[in-house]
Amino acid sequence: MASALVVDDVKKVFGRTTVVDGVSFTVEPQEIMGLVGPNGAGKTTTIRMALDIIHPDAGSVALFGSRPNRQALQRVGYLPEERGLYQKSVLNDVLRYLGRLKGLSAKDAQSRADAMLRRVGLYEHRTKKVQALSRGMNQLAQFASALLHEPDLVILDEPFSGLDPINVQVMKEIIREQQERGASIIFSSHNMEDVEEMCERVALVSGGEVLLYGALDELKRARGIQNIRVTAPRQPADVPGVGNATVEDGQFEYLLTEGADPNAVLRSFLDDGIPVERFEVALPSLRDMFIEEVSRARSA
Amino acid sequence: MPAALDGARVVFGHEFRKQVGGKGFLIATLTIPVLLAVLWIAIPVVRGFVEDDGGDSAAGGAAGATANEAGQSAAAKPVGIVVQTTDLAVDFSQFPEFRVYAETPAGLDDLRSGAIDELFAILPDYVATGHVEHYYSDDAGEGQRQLGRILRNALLGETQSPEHRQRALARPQFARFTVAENGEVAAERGAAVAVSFIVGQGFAIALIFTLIAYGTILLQAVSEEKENRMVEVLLTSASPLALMTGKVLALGLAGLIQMSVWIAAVILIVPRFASVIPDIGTIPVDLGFLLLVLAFYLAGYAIAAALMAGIGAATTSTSEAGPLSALVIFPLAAPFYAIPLFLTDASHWLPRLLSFLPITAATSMMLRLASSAVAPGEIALSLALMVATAALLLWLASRVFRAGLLLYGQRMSLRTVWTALRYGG
Repeated sequence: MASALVVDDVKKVFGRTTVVDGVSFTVEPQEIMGLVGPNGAGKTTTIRMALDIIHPDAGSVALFGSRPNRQALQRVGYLPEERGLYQKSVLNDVLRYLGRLKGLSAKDAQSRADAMLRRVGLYEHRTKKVQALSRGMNQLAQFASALLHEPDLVILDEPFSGLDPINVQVMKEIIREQQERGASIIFSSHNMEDVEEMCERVALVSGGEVLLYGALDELKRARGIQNIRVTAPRQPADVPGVGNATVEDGQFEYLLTEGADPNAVLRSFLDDGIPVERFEVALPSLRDMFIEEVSRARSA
Repeated sequence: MPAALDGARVVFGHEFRKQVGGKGFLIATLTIPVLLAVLWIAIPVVRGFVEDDGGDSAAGGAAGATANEAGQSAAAKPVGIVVQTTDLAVDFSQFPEFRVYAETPAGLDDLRSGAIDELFAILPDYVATGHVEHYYSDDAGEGQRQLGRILRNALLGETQSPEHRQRALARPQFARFTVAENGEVAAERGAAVAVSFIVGQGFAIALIFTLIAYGTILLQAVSEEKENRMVEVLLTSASPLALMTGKVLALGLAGLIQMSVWIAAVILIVPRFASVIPDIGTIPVDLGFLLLVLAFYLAGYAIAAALMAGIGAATTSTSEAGPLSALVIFPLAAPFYAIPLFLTDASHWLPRLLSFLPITAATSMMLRLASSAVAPGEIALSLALMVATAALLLWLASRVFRAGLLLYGQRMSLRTVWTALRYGG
């Protein structure tokens, strides 16, 4: 089966600013791929190029094995970061219209709109004007509209921003359902915990370039850098092999430098006669990797 | 059906329903027919108040005065009548609203008692002098007008056919011919010229009105999609050209329907109260002229709508887009400033030049066609230029709409639009 999306070495320059510089990644069928990066990293521009909204200056995009033509785009559901709906229109009418634009018959568009509105808990509000809905409801409605036509590729740009935890949970469940249905999902977010929870693979973009790309577990292991968490009343004056240290509520967290030995850290506590209540060796979090990689790229 | 056409069809259906389904459309569409209907009802009433018994304005209806017509006010008190002349062959007892008295005093007794509100006595020398005595109280009604009609019919005689009576009561229609110094005889177009010019001007004004109304709606609809950030989702669902085409056609059709209702109302209702205008229906209007005016109307709408859509696509908010619509409306209305020239010398270089500039062509050609003959080649060239320009502008507007994504939060300038077109397209 062809990849849902292949972005190959795409480049986009606005004036003298290179916004995207050789970004490549692939989204495989039925996977959730995280697209992460700081503000202005080039994520949205990359997504727009993938959706043929703007054209790349170099490189290529393949959507379901072909150029992102109208037919291929009909198989995509998109929730943009800059979002909104027709404020003066009735919610049901807006969803039906968007479903019709995605190629559904009038009857199917209506039945799918009913089903999705029920799923996101907005069915009772279907006859209201969009402007009468809360911001969170608006977001859920647009999320529902992106999934109305059962797309094969769903692109969600910051889907949880501004939502309360309950609605975030509802959205996460629906995203999982879409994956089980067979859809591929691109999940773009600033929230590393969400990406870590939802995604199997990630592409970390910064300054228009891909800094990290691959399966999340493999990326963590491949770094050869480990996190050490120690619960103790105090810490030694000198902890060997530590690149970065944080202290929080009697818990010390150390990010080891490359090749450092975690046992040396434990030994330093014991040698100083400090009782250790808990000692944990953990892989680095996506957040750690994000901060480290972006900081390194910016300082280079 | 190709995806692009299907997209345009869906957009068209959505926009058309949204437009026509609104209360505003219904109210605006029915305003003209309702106003005309009010005039239809009000004008005869007003005429009844001001019309003199012998006035010509009643002539059209007088020929048809019958017992039925007179009976329209049968619910009111009867009108007393005393016929003292023997020269009239009319039996007032056949009219239910008249009460016939043999002598004037008997009628006056009933007037005093309130049994009748007015009494007419047709004097013995009526045919020679026209003298009729009219006695009335404060509550007198329309007896004078009714009696006038009956008397005129009676004077024309039963032997006359209805057509003869109609013609006798109506004004003659003069076909006027001018004889030039060289002896050449030419028909003066007269009323036909006036009607053609009114039709041409009417369409030109309608074009501008439609544009102001529907162009603004179109501009707001396009601008709103950028303002509410729908544009990004829409662009993944339909091509920009399909989106623009669907919108332009939907709003154009809504405007045409509204105009058609108004024109139908004028055609159906105005003649019913405009009988004061002699033989309005006999003034000839050339069908070919009407079709040409309609063609220029549609082409003019297409150009202006595409321009409005382009402005909506290039701006970031409806408030920013609104004032810019004047850039379209002003040149469209510009030929009106040269109306004297169109009337006196429609083949002057300025009206001709304006006929070939796509933005002023619609109004100019309507005015030129209304006031003089225009060479077929000029008509064809002007129309072709307009159609080609409309297509080009629509395509450009769709490019700007797509590129407009890059203009979020920026004030529109030619430079920003050009940049967006370069990098977004």
